[in-house]
Parts: sequence; structure tokens; C-alpha cells
Amino acid sequence: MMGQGLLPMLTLGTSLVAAVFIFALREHQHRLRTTVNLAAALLKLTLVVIMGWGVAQGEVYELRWVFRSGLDIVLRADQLSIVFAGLSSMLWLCTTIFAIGYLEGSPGRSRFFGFFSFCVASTMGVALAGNLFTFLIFYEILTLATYPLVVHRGTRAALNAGRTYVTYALAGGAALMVGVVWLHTLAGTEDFQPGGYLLENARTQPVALTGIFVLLVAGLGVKAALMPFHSWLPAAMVAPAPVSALLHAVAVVKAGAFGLIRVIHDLYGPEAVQYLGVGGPLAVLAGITILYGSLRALQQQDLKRRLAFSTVSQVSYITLGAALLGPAAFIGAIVHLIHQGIMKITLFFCAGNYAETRGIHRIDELDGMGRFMPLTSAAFSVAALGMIGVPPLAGFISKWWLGLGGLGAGQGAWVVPVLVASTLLNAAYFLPIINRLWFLEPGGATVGGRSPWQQEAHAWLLWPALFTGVLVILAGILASMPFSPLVWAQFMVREVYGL
Amino acid sequence: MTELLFPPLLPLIWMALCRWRPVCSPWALLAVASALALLAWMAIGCTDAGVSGRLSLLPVLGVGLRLDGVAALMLGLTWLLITGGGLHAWGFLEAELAFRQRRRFWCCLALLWGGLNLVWLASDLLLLFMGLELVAVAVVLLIQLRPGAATRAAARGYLIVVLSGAPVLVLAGFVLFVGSGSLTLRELEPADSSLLQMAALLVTAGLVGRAALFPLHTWLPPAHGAAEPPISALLSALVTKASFYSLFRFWHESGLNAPFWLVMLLGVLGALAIAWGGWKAWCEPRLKMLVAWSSVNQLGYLFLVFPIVAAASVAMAPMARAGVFVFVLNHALAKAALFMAAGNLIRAMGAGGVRDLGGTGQRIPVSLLSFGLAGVAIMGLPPSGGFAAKWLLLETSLDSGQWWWTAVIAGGGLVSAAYIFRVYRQTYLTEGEALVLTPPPRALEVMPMLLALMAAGMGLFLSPILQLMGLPGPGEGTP
Repeated sequence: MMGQGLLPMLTLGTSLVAAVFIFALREHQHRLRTTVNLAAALLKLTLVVIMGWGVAQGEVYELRWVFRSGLDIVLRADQLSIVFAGLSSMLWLCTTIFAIGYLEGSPGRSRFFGFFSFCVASTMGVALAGNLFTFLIFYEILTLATYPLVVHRGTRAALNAGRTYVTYALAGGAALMVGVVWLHTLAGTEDFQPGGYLLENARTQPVALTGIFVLLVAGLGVKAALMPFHSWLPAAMVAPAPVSALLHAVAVVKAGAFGLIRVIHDLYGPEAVQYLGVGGPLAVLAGITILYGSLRALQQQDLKRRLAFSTVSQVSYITLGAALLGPAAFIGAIVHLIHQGIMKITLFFCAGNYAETRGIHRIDELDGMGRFMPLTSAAFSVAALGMIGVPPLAGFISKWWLGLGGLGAGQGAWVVPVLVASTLLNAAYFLPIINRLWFLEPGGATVGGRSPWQQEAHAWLLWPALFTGVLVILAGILASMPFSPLVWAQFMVREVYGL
Repeated sequence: MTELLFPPLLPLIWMALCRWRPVCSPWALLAVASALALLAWMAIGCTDAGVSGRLSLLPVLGVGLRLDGVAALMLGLTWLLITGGGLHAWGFLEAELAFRQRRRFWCCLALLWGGLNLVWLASDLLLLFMGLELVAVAVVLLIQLRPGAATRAAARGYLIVVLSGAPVLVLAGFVLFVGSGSLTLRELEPADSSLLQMAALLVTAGLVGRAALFPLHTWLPPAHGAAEPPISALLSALVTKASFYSLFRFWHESGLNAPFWLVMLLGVLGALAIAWGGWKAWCEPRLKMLVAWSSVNQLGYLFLVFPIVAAASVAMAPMARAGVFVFVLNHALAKAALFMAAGNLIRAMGAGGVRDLGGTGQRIPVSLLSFGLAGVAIMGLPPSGGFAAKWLLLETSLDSGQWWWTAVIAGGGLVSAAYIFRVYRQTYLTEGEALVLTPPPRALEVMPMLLALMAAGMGLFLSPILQLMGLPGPGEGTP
């Protein structure tokens, strides 16, 4: 048993140890810091892959620590945790490389990378949390770990964004905590299990469980940027690009969306949610957020702001899929959790490259950039097309399953139109960018005499973007290969829905 | 039992009186004191964990001592903070103190330690009050360690609270003795007569002022703001707890039933303290005063335990009691760390404003990190002891349907976060980089970091703490 518990602990411990070590480094020990960062990221990815392989063979990796009698801190790798842990450890590696290139020579790197590792450690905790209580602990630590990253630049704007972020996140955390305690007093805190364990309680205490559901969704919805709680996310885009990648793709919003999936499928269970009738309103809220986020994205002229509102919209796809309560929708949610991560991180890497290499922040400055930064622009275009849902890219797969889910749940009447409308809006705010990149004449700011390849972003910045860009294509084309997100999700859905 | 009270004091007194420097190296003597305390501890541990001994000095009144899990925790906490905090204070202040002041410092520390141990162990009102008075004397002298207008005024304010409370306590003790024939807490009969009830109320009234419950908190921020930071650390960590502890013991160990309106009043005042202390801390421009106001805010939580326990089920009441003592431990460690770290920061900056922290982020990292970790514990975020304590209190309040206290506890966490993040925010500011800083010596950064780590990680070790307090440990089923 101890041997089985070791892996989750090591997965968490790698970045924790890395964080402490990096804090202790001096500012100028650049090489050592880079080595530690990359070694930790690789080691973690290896560990997650080993665990993923084991989980697919039916192994159980579990570590328990008694908080008090009847309440344990549980780290456990199950299929859903592997989805999130795999996503974030893979993308963390890319983000680390990108961040090393991005922050080259700027002050405060020890602090930055220390908290960066700490942030990933808490994300791993969120992924591997085996019960709601453990989830709550790491969810709150995640807030603390990201704050220093959001305010890293130390400007007034960054500090104000940080204040908005913690205000939302801590208020959400408080709601979540009350919900978790309340649930504990009613039903105890048991381990997450596919299909949930609260059906009986839902029958006997429907009012209380509905109240708890609302509290949990409010707490998780903050990080998942669900509609009334979303405004911190666009505000936080003042942070450096690697942090935006972390917020939007690897850690924070994903922790919220992942928590919603956990609550609906592994805590309450689809039947209980159905019984309480809370899935429908949540799905509607998600639908509204999808459209609202897209509409707001359309209005933005700042590239990162547009991407941020796009995240508001795209993450709600996951929420929608979770709330629709059908096998197909569930598959859509899981797949989109991963696919959105890959696509959005590519977009933020590219936005960071434009900003870092050529100082471009606004969309109208992107004219003709395809000629100067062809690789970055290609990666951007692929990810943007993926976001729109162009087949055979990653986004198409998830939208397809979500659409099927909407039909399957008998809510096709409004879900499919929402998806269609959102796709049109996605196209409306991404296609003009692609058009500017490739088909418009460059503006005044050209650098003559050098070939495009010399004007591309620095290799540390370019390669992560290219790698994730290729992943966007592969995730779509190879969707039915073993160990692809789609196959993995289909594998899971059998347990949740007993198919 | 009595050996727990006195051996630790002897070396300190000796150190205070001795003029020969090499021997009175504080390290050596505190080590001796700790060893003696440990020996006494083991001697008691060999007999029984729940022993209670009696002093034969005053047989008529039947004064006695009692050692249980909670008292043991408080003894341990006091040992940690007096030795660790004392050494830190010594390192911080040594260079600035004249010989007489040094001697006074060690004398007062000995007095404080003895008085506190007496409070933790006393099982009757007489010893309890004696302990409290000893503590009060030590506090007045410690606040004025370096005389000045501010410290004098602060000490005067504290003295007024103590002196106005003392006669009330004596009167109450007299009435209780006459009414029930004993001063031992366990033997105070359930009061039928209104006289006993009145006396019980008087005890409460006499103690809440010292415990700085809103609206009698006004002496606390000036006192803790004016004293030297390492001394404020001891005062806020231990001294305010002594009064709360006495009040808690009085109502929960005696057979007296607190009237409903009284527990509700204590709870409401606690809630007001959370709000008011948090608001004042949020508005406060000076760092040390911010930390002091945070004490008012945090002490408010302690008083929520009275109404929550009163309405809790038999199974859950011990949880809330344990929760409040986890809170006491958490606040003691975290607040001591905050004051020590704030002292380091203020000395490094040469200025005491929260605004002056702008641009310090990269340059005093260890003290700032200690401050940050202690802040996490104050906000009650996981995995700190504050989180564990809040969990237990929330659980009890929700279990008994007291959702209004749930709202107070959850909202109070946000209030604390507001003023703690105000400090964090400043440290990230890149303006003011040109500031001249003199980083504190490494030795002075050890203690705050240690205490902050203990507070911030305490939640992971809740189970052994609960076991020490006599609650079911791992594997013994849900309560």
C-alpha cells in the first residue's frame, strides 16, 4: 500500500521541493535554476505517465493522511485525476520552457519560479485530491500560489489585477468551504467515486443538498470564470504571458472546471443532480456565459484581452458538458478540458511571442505578421481554427461530442443553437486576426533586410508554441488512438454511467 | 505538579541577578530551564496524564493545580514562545538595552513565564487570579522596557484595565466562596441563587477587559503597537490568551451554566470585534499597529466558542472546544511570527509604515516570507492551524444549525484576508526601489520563520493535537 501511495506523493513533492530549492537560489544562478525547473517538470511528467499507465491497468495509487477522525486528506490517482494531472504536467513543461525564455534577464526570477513550481504543486494536489476536503485544501493553496505570479510585475495595474483576483478567489473559497463543511455534517466526506454517492441524501434532504450544490458551484464557478464571477480573468491578463498560460490553460480556470466535473459526476452523481434538478439551471448559466464571453471577446482590441474573454466562453463549454448529464456530454466536457488547454496555451504563447519579440499588444498591429513571424503565426492560426471548431482540429472533436450530448440530454433545442452561435462568434473574432496575419500588408513597423527566420521569436519562446500547436492538430487527427483524450474519456464514461 | 511551575524560573532569575556575563549567556540558561521543565514534565508524565496536585500552602482554601491536555498544550506553547521568543528578543534588543534594562527584561520574562504557567494549571479561582496578576505586573514592566511617552501611556492604559478588573474579580471570588464553600472550579455548585449568578457575571466582566473583547479592546493596539516588536509578540501570543483561557475554564469547568443572553452577548461582541478589528487593521497606515489591530480581530473569534458550544450537541461540543484551542495555538504562533517579522522589516526599512514596504520584495525575502506564511495562518487558509480551527468551529455551528455564526466565521476570514493582502500587495510594488535597506541578521530571521511554518502547517497535524486534548484519534471512529 505504501508503495502505491508513494507515486502521488512524489508527483506532488517534485514541484514542492523544486519550489523550496528555487526560493533558496540567488538571482544570478540562472543555469542551476533552469536545470532544476526542467528536471522537475520532466520528472513530474514521467511520474504522471507511469501513474496513467498503471491506472489504465486498473492499479490504485492512494495516499491517506488523517486530518481528524473520520476526515482524511486523500491523494489518489483515478482516471479523471490522470486527465487533469496529465494535462497540467505536460503543459507545465512547455510553460516552464516558455517562461524561462520570456523572463530572461528580468528581475525577481527566483521568486517567480519558486511560486510557479508551488502553483503547479497545488494544481497537482487539485488533480489528485481523492475527496472534496482535500480538493478544498489545494484549491485554496492554488489561490495563494498564483497571487504572486499575477502581481509579479509589481506595477499598479498588476497589483490591482491581483486584488481583483484574490477578492474573487477568496470569496469563492469561503463559499466552497462552507459548502464542504455543510456537506460533511450531513453526509460525511467520502472518497470521490464514479457516479457519486449522494443519491440517498438527495432523496432525504433535497433542500440542504441543493443549497450545498449552489455553494459549491459558486465557489468553483469563480475559478471556472462562470458568468457573474468571471471578471477577474480578463483583469488578470496584465500578468506576464507565461502566467496567463498558467491561469487560462494549465491551472486556475481548469481547477474550477475540473472541480465542477468532480462535484457533478463523482460527488453528487448524475442521478442525484438529475433528481435535484440543478443540472439544467447550471447548463443554462454555462450557455449564457458561452455567448456572453464570445460577444465580449468580439469587442476587445487588445489581443490578450480578446483571448481572455474567449477563455471565459470556452471554459464554460466544459461546465456545459458536465451539467448536461449525459454520456456524450460528459465525454465532451473531459475532452474539452484537455483540448481547450492545448489550444488556449498555444494562443497565449503566440500572443506572448508577438509582445516579447515585436512589442505587439493590439490586434490591429498584427497586420502582415505572418511574413515576419511565420512559425508563430502558423501556430496561432492552427490554434485559432481549432478554437472555432474547424475539423479535424482538436476543438471540432469536443464541440461534436458536446453537440451530441445536448441532443442526448434532450436539450438539443437550445444547446445546439448555442453551440452554433458560439462557433459563429468564435469565427467572427478569430478569423479577422488570421486575415490580418496572413493577408494584410504590414504596417509601418517592418524590419528590413533580415529574413523572416531571423525575426522569429527566440527558440525558448518558439518551440513550446510550435509543440502545442502540433498537439492541437494531433489531438484532432489521432482522436481515436489509444490514450488519446477522447478514448480515455470514453473509457471513463462507462464507469460513471455504468454503460 | 508544583515542580512544573518553579524550576524553569530559577535559571532565569539567576540570569537576571547575575552580573557575570559569560555564565549568563541566555542560550545556556534557557537550555537549562528547558531541561528542568522537561524533567518536571516527565516526572508528571510517569504518574498519570490527568493528575491534579495540591499546594499545601493554603489548605483552608483548598487551592490546587490541574494538568490536562489543554493545559499541557498551553504549557508547551508557553515554553516555546518564552524560550524562542526570549532569545529572539534578546538578539533584537541586546545592543540597545542598558544593563538595568536587560536585568529587568529577564526578571519580567521569568515572572511572565511563572504567572502564565500558574494560569494554565490553576484549578481554582484563587490561583487563577494570582497568576493573572503576576502576568499583569510582568506585562506592565515589559511594555515600559524602554521608557518613552508612548510606552508609558500604553502601560497606563493596560494598568487601568487590569486595576478596574481586579477588584471586580476579587469581589466575585469572595461571593462565590461564600455561596458555594469552595473556590475550586469543579466544585462551584450550579447557582440557584441570583447571587452566584451575579458573581459569575462579575468574573466575566472582570476578565473580558483583559482579553481585549470589543468594546474594551482600546488598550490593546496602543500597548502592542508601542512595545518593542519581540515583546509585543509575547504579549499578543500569550498574555491575551491567559485571560480568555481563564474565562473559558471558568464557564466550562465549573458547574455554572452561563445564561443564554450572556453567551449570545459574548458571541455578538466577538463578531463585532472581528469586524471592527479587521476594519481598523485595514485602515491602519503603520505596520506594527496593523498587526496589533489584527489581534483585536482574531481574539473576536475566540468568543464565538461560547454561543457555539452552548447550542451544540453533546457529541459536537468537544469539537468546538478543541477548535477554539487550535485557534489559540494558531494565533499565538502566527501573531508572534508576525510581530517578529514586522520588527525585522521595520528595522530594516528604518520606517514603520505599510507604504514603506514598497520595493522591499526582493531584498528582505526571508522576513517577508515569514510574514506571508504567518498571514496565511491568520487568514485561516489551508493547511494552517487557522483553517483547521475554522473547520471545527464551522462544523459545530452548521451541525447545530447556527448558520449566523457560520456566516461570521466565513466572512471573518475574508476580513482578515483584506488587511493581510494589503501588506502583501505593498511588498510587490516596484516603486521605491531606491530605498536604503539594512537587512536584518540571519539569526533574527530564524525564529519568525520557524513559528510561521509551525502555524501555517499546523492543520496537517490536527489529529495528534486533538488526541492530546482527549478527543478521538485516528481509527477510533467518527465522534
